[in-house]
Formats: sequence, structure tokens, C-alpha cells
Amino acid sequence: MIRLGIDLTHQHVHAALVTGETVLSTSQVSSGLDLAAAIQEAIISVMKSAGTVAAEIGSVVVGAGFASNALADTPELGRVAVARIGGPSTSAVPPFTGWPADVAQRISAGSALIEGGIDVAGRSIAALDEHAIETFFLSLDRESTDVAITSAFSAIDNSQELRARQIARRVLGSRARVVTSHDVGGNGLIYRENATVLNAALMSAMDSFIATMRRVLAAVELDHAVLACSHNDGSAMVAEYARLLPVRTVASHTANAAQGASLLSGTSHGVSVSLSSDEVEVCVFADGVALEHVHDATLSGVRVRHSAAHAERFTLPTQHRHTPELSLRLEAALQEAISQISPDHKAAPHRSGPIPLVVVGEAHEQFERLFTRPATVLPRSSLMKQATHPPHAESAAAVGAAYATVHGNAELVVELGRVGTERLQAELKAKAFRDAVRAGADPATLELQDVIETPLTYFSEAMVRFSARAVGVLTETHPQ
Amino acid sequence: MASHAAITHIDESMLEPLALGCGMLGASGGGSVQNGLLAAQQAIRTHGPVRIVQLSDLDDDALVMPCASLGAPLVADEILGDGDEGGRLVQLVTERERRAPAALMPSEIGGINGLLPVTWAARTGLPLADADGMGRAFSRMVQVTMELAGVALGPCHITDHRGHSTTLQHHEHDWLERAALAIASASGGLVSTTEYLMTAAVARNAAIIGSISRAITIGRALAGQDPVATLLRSTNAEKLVTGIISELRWRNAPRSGSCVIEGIGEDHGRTVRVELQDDMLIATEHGRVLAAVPDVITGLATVSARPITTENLRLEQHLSLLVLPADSAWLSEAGLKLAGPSSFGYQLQHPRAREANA
Repeated sequence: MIRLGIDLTHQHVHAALVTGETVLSTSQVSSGLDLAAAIQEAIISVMKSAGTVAAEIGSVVVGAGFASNALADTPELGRVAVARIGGPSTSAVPPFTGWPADVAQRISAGSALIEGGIDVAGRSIAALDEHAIETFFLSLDRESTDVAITSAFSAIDNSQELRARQIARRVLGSRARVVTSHDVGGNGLIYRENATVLNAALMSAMDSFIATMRRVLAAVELDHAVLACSHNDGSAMVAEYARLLPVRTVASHTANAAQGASLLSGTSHGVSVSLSSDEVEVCVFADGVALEHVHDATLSGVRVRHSAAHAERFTLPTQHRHTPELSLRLEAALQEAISQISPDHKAAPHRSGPIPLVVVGEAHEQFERLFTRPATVLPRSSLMKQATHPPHAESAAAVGAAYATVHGNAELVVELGRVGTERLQAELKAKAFRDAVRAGADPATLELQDVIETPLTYFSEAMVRFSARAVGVLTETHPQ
Repeated sequence: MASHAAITHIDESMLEPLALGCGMLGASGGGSVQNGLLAAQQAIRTHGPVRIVQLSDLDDDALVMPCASLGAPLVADEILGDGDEGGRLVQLVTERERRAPAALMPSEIGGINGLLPVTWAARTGLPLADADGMGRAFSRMVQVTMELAGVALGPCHITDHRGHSTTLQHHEHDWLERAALAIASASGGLVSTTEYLMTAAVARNAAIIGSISRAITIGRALAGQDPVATLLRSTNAEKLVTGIISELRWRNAPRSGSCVIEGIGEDHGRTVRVELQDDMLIATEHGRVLAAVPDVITGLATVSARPITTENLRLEQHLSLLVLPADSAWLSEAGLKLAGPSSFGYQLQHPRAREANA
């Protein structure tokens, strides 16, 4: 079957049709005021130029755009009340501290610090104050409020968050959107709480975007196709799953561009340089996917820490007046990226020959103009010799969205020696496969990648975090 | 070495630069500064700016209370404290001494401990002394200049994030520190403590002067255009080399390693080697020691213009290696024994100690 990838940038809608490793066609349409009409036009245009009929398309993957646009355009965000379990141990930094005032004002429907919590060793700091949390939920406006429930060390023990969610559902009714921090994940209470709140705030915008997409697909007779959204790591998640975790879609453009650069240039390992009118992103890809990295980022001025494709980003000065300092830093970034996949680096043990710099993005033709001074590190001629502009370069992110696999992640924090290796492996595998299937993987295609073991170096307790990932192919059967 | 203007207060706008400066002075240790920054922001927004005093402006017999958190930095990412730890420590000191401290002081300017006393000062209304006990971050409670000046370590008052408090009166340093860590572990990995209580007259000779002003000056340089040039101009930082990492080796147990930086541009042809543990500890060029712990040695990444933690070093990374020289209090024989190269397992002389002896 053929896959349709869609990428939304600030000014354009890009569409790409991909089958196996072949790119059939791409299209680019100005987004204008009516996004749905532009998406429809881009789909019709790409199908026409490839000579593809609707019945040949099995799935549609949409990258970036909607959720990050909703974040930039705050009126679309929902109002969120935060119940943080962990008073008084975390009260020095209440929810919404450090948020830009306008974003906090738009999103916050109040917050409460509830007695309770788990410590680093999984011991209860205090029992959940069920009466206090119920009183807080009763005080909320049931019609217009979504809820974020957060707590310290929720990755180690989520039982208090689960109990709080039960109470929220009972008090607020089953229609209330309730997001718990252990589902959003990540280390650092404030980062995880911020992401949980943004996730809750984005859910209604995400639902309306998915509804728009379904209307567009129906209009072009693609309602049989499975609809999916791109994850920040470049994988795909079926819409039914992505709607629960919109915050994991906001930074997917980087990974999609790198994935597209790999497919379009026919190289599994390389460096993608993605240029838009105001930004350059340098990103390393290996085995066709962008290298991923847990890093701090800000979304609408709110700090989060997420696992996403790692890119060095450079804001371009207006009118392309590039400073010598910018070209020095950019050159250093390119050199560092190249070295990450050099023959002696573990990401590409058997490679030889020059590392390709794959230049993509709407402004890819501007690449050579970024260097205003003689290069100090790489001779400029060699840098330019390594640079390729593949066909369809401007729509690489749409190609990358279409080419995505599906991931399932699992994490277990256990005391060393408490659980046998075999049982642990089996539990991790089952958990990762379950997550992958929820995200839309075809179960027959799933494979488990390496289990990563991270010792948590706290005190005497020897706690270890095991994480595993399952990878599979996006299903072409509608999820139940 | 106060080449920077002393400040008189900390308002909200100064917290970002303070956090950046504490981050750089904390090198890889001292915990993430972000939560400390947010707690201070919250406290200043509620209680107003924090007054900064110079030790020389306090009465001779005024009490100066050093304070910090103790425990696992990773725990501080999840357990943020209740913000009243400082208030409880002040109360414990006041009850025992029968008078209140006149000022708080960070025990450690590097990392999150440079910021927590700002929150506590805002919430207690006490001023903060522009000084600290390390001039950077160290992992041990006793690695402070007060120890060198003969100030008594105990009594050590401890409080946790749920309001449990303890006073330790052990007279042996190792026992006291071990007991304090055991209490931290029992409290979920993190407590706040005060020790080395002293009068202002003693503090003037026992503490490192100007630490908070210095951290803010460093942070402002990092936040601006061209941080390397600004740091060299506005602080006593020196550039050791600008170049590319050409070798990087790590060994385990204890985790240590080294990297080699090949100079580029005006440093073309130079080769500087750096010994690594949690921090960059020693920089040498052809066997000559350029800088060594307790100097703060930091790599500023060319691409991001931010300090690089040792765990994030990579081959072929472009960086400028800078040194912020240690306060002269550390360069005595006792100071170097407590926190110099030999305390990290390297048998070599500190370059400035040698000059002092010559």
C-alpha cells in the first residue's frame, strides 16, 4: 500500500506519497486562511501528479503544525486545573511558577497542593488526602475544566495518581479530560508537570484538528485510510492514541525532516540540514532515523524536558545578513554532527567515504549563502562537496512523516536483585509491545530493541531503571 | 578579586543571571539550578527582593548562618522542598544561641545551593551575605574555607521537607557528616542544613567574599553576546585554549577520564589535556599544569555558548576552555590538602601554590 505524509509549516502544507522506500511524488500548497482547504488541495495535487487513486493509499501520517500552532495561538488552549500530590514537600515551587504570565492566565483554572507523595525509594511520604483532593475537584467548573494530576516520583509508583484520577472521574464525570503525569512521563517534577498541563490544555485543539483531518480525508475519499500523527521522535501514532498525548507531537518536524532527508538521499547515515525562512536545524540520522536525546525545551515559554530528535538550532537574522559569528557556530555544529557518524563513531561502525550533508526544507537553496567567511575548520570546498540537495528537498518532512515506523516504550524502575532477569525482560517486552500496539503498530511486525539499564545513583538503595523500545510497522487496519 | 560591582539586593530580574552563574560555578556538580531558580522567583514575587549585605557592613558579633541542602541532586529534581527550611534552621539557631542570625550565607555558591538561600532569605526577611564557603561546588560538607579558618563544624542543625528537625553535636567531622547523610537518606534523600555558625568578624576572614555578585556577573556574561570575550573582560576568568576535542577516554570505578583539546584559530598548534571526574579537574599542556582544582575549569561549547558538563563531552566538540581561578584561601597547604588535586587522587602541585612557595 501507499502512504501519504503531510507536513504543516508556518506558511505551507506539504504532502508526499511513499511506497516502500520509493517517493512517488510531493506537493506544496500555501496554507492561507483555510487550513482544511489547503490540506485537501495538497492531497489532491500529490495524488494527481503521482497518478495514485484513493484506494491505493493505506495510511495518512500528519506531522507537527496543529499542536504547536495551538500553543502559539493561545486562545485555542483549554483551561486546566492542577492537582499536585506532594504537599508540603514540593510547595516551594507551586504549579505554574515560571510560566509566562499570559499563558498561565489563559490556561490555569487553579491548582492545589494535596498531602501525599512517594519518595525516591518508593516509600510513601504520606497517604493521599482523599478528602482534600475531592474538595478541590468539587470546587471546579465542571463544564470548562480539564485536570492535570501530578506527583513526585510517579515513574516509581503511580498508585496515588491513579487513585486521584478515579476521584476526579467520579466528581467531574466521565467527560472530563484527566491527564496523569506518569502517562506523560519524564524526569523532574516541574518539567513533567508542565508537560502534563500543556498536554491537557492541547487535547481539545487536538480533537478538533483530528476531526478536521477526518473531514478532509472523507472529502477526498480517503476515509478508509488509517490516520496517524507524528511523534517528537519521528515515529507515527494512530490518531486515537495521539489525541491522548498531543504534547508528544509538538516537536516532530525536526525528526521528520531528518527521516525524509535519509530516504530522499538514499543514505542511512548522515547529517540533515533543514532550512526554513528563519531557522536552520542540524540533525544527525543513523539507520534512517534522527538521533534522539532527552533535552530541555520551551513550548510557548513553558519549560519541558522531552525525548525528541536532537538538533542544533540557529535563528537566521532577517534579510539573510549572516554574521561571521553565525557561520562560525554553524560550521562547528556541522563538523560536530559529521563526526558523530564518522567511521570511528559507534553510530556508523562500518561506514567509509564522506558523510553526506543532506540539505532540505523550504529554504534549502539558501544553504550555500549561509557561509560568509572563510571556513577555519573544514575547507569550505569540502563542506560544499559533501552537501547534497536531493529531489523533493523542500517537502522532506512530509516524506519523513510518511516513512515513519511505530514505537512502543516501556520503563521499569526496580530494586536491583528484587526481580529475576527473565521475568524483567518478559515484563518489559510485554509492556513495550502493548504500548506499540496502542500506538498503531501491526503486532506481527513488532521487534524489541536493546534494553537499556540506567543505575539511579541515589543513596544506599540500588535502584535501576530499565527501558525498552519495540518497533513495528504502522497498521493499515482501523484500530478498534 | 572583586573586579565586579557589589550588588545591594536581588530582585526577580537578577535570578536568571544568578542561576546561570551558579550553574557555571557548580560545573557538573551541585545539582540542577532550575528548581532553585523557580523557588527563588516564587519567594521574591511573594515577599519582595532580598537584601544583600557585605560582611564588612555587619557588626563584629553579628551571627552569620551558612546554609545549604544536602543529599542527592536527582532527588531535588522531584522533591522541591516546602520553602520554609531556612526559617526552621533560623529558629533552631536562634533557640540555641538565644539570638537570631543577622544574615544567611550560602555554604556553597555552585549549583542549586547558590539559589536556595535566596528563597530562604526572602521568606525569613533576613539579608543574605555576599559570600560563600567554597567559591564553587564540592561534594563534601567540610570542603569549605570556614574549615581552614578553624570555625567549629557543629552543632549542625538539619530540617527536612516535612518539617522534621534534628541537631547533631558530634565532635568528629566524619561521624557528623555520615550521620547527616543518614538522616538525608531517611528523609527521602534530601535535607537542609546549617553548620559552621560564626560571627561576622570571623566570617570576614573565613568565608569567600563577593560570591553572589560574582555569580551574577558570570551569568550576565553567559546570557549576552559573545560570552567568552565578556567573561574575560568582566571577571578574572582566563582562557586556556579554544579548540576541538580530539581524544576522550573514560574509566570506571571511580569514574574518571581525560580529554585532549587541539587548538584552532589563534591557538593552532597547541594541545591541552584535561583530567576529568564529575568535573574538569586539571588542565595541562606538555606536562605543565595550567590550572587545577579548586580552580573552576569549564568548557564553553562553541555551538551553544553554554558550559558543557563532563558527561556531555563528545569527540570533535568545539569549545573554549576557561578557568575561574580559586580564591587564594584555597591555595594554602591545608586548603589544597582539603580540596586540591591530591584530594581527588592526583599527585601534582597546584600551579599557584608553587608560585606562593617559591
